[in-house]
Amino acid sequence: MWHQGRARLIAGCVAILGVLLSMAASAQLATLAPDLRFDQAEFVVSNDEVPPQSGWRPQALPDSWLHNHPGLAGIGWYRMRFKLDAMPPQAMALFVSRVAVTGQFWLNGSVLNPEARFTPPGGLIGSQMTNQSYLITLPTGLFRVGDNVLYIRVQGYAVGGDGLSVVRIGSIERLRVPWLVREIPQRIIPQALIVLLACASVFGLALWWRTRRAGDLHFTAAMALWAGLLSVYLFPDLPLTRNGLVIILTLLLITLYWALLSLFYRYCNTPWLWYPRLLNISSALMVLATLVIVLLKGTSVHLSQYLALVLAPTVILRVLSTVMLVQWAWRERLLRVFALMAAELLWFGGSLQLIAILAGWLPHEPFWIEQAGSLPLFLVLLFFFIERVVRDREQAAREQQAAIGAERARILQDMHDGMGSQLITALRMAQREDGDRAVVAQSIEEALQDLRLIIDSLDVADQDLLSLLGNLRYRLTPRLAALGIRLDWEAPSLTELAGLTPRSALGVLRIVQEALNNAVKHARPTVITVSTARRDGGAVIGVADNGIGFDPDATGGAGRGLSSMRKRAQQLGATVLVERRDGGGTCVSLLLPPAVGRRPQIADGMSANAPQNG
Amino acid sequence: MPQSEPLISVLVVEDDEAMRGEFVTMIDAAPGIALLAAAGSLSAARAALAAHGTPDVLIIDLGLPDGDGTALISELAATAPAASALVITVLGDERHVVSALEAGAKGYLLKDATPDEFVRSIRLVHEGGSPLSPKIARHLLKRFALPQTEACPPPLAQGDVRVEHLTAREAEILSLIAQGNTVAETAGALHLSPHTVVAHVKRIYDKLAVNNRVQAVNRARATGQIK
Repeated sequence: MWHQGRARLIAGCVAILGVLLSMAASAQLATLAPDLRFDQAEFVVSNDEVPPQSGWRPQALPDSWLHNHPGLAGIGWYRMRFKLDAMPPQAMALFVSRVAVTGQFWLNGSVLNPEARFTPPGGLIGSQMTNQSYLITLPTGLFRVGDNVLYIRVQGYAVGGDGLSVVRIGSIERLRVPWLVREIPQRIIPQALIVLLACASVFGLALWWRTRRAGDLHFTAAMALWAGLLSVYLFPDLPLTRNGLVIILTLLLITLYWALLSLFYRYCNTPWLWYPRLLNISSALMVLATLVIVLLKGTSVHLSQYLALVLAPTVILRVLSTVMLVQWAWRERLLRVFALMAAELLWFGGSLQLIAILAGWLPHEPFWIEQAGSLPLFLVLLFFFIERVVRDREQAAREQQAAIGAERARILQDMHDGMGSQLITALRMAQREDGDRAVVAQSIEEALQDLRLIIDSLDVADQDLLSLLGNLRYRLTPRLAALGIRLDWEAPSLTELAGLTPRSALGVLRIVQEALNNAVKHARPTVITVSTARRDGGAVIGVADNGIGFDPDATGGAGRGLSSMRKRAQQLGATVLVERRDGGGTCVSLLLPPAVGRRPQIADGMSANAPQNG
Repeated sequence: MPQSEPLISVLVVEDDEAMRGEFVTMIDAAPGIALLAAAGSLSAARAALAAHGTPDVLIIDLGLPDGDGTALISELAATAPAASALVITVLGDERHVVSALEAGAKGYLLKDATPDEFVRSIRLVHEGGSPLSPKIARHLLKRFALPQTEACPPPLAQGDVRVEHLTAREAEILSLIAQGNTVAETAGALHLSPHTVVAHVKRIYDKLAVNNRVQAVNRARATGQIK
């Protein structure tokens, strides 16, 4: 064991030593290699496709056209001359920290990036290098002992950012670090962001397909617009003219800001109710202004400057939404809210930096934080969205549970109020020594009738009261016939009754059943007529008999049935009228309001207090 | 009932012994109706059918200890189309009744039916009547596809397996019954004889059973059980 351990230790030491030695050797080589940083160059404006011979004037680097060559829109050449005492011992690298639009590099007559295309006047845009940094390998064969010359040809559009940044030639290893410092935030992160945004918009769309909720569509639109905007920046060689590209970018920016800012508004619980209207109106006006300018100045080389002015209101809108978020964060003091606020501030800061650079207020040398700075914002927005989806699902599950619970409670209550109490009456009567078998049988029969009413009333999908009453008639006609009573039916066309729920349907059926039972038990009729009619938007259901009549004010017998009917009617917001008919007999009318059973809280309160058995 | 009329033979299949006894008592007391046999299970009912032949009317409970009563209804509908089946149900609810109608039953009996209702139902179904409650009528309306413009769908060709639809007349009858009208009232509203309305209802029941069989065949085809 010990020997093995020592062997490992020695091997490790040897390996470390080897690495150190090789690092020292490469450091030695690096010190031998040239390390050139060009602070001075020569400059000439020329549309020539090969380096011009004359007109060169000295120019300090970095060079901003906005400051040093105001109004220059076209192609300029830079020349950097340097001497080498010896050939470099290994391949070197050219590092250009930022190429605004299109750039091409020539070393000693060789084109280093022959694929770069420049935008011809009025033609399709050339290679879009969009502020990327470049690290180009220079084989030793490209260098010469003595005089060397590096040409850089760049294109510009008279906006901030045009020009040439720091240019260096040195060892690949040394220049890789400053290159990565720019490459990661300006290219790798935005590319990853495009993929993430595309996934998020697919996710949002799939969700919207199921929920059809405006919020989901909104999120999807914001993500898709954002991905579209970044793609326009990052994908080279779009088949567009320069002005076409600028128009598309302007419209994408307006709509993306609209989508993102209204998403912020949606998330933060702000009292600024006027904000969405301001946002919608100003976004619409900006789109309109863009279209007007495109119609008037569509071919101008200065189109991008005009459209930059059109975009100015977005800054105000974004300041407002930033204030909104900061206020919200201050009020809520929650981590997630602070995260959204911080991400938005970073994103907005990046945009402000971009505007400042484009306007020439800031040097264009530092790397641009806008694109990478939007990654945290995306992540926080995605978190908010997913959190909302999860919360909605939980809410929906809870609501479904609650609905099932409520329905179960209703059916239980229905059974308790009706058949339960009838069965208890039957049981008590059966248990009594002198129990009346007829009463037992009648109570059980009523319980069965009630059970059927409960089942009937469960199915009121069409709010079709007539069918339910018809079923009651179908069931009772043979029984009444057996008692020598004819059941007449005057139900011309009581169509649907709005708002009819299983609960209110059951209430109506029970009242009608009770009225029929009352008539059969107390009035000794030969004909009972059930009628339905429309009245004042509601309905009237009448149960009339030709019997001996009964005293509506009596406390027992028919009176008890009547008070139970009145209680049920009250729960429905309906009224029961009892009238003596001229030729003898009684008419019980149930007056149903237009939206029967639309008073659930009263109905619940009443049923809780209603006496449970007679 | 005149003595010259032939007796209606009835097979009762009910697993509850007290209930079965009740039915037997009611049948014994009713003139013109004779008990063929009473069974407590599907197997006993099949044995009774084998021993005593086909009854005029089968009265059957759906939930039997050795299976579902609809199986026996379908068997009887296939072997003896003249026999009519009545299903015994506690509640007369849609689920039980419609599945029984689909199996080929012609109507249903409530378990708490009075002797009068019981006997009337047996006579009615034997005479070809088909009782139809408003709720079941409404359910059937939903069940069938809406009628096409033609008065009558084309007849089924041999081997042609397709679902039958309601005719416009049948749909009218169903919707009138669904609104609570009796057969007589429905007939009056449509200027038909009650007999015609009953015949229509019977045809609707037949279509329901046919469609049920067609769907079973189609299902079997879809799952590869029939080639």
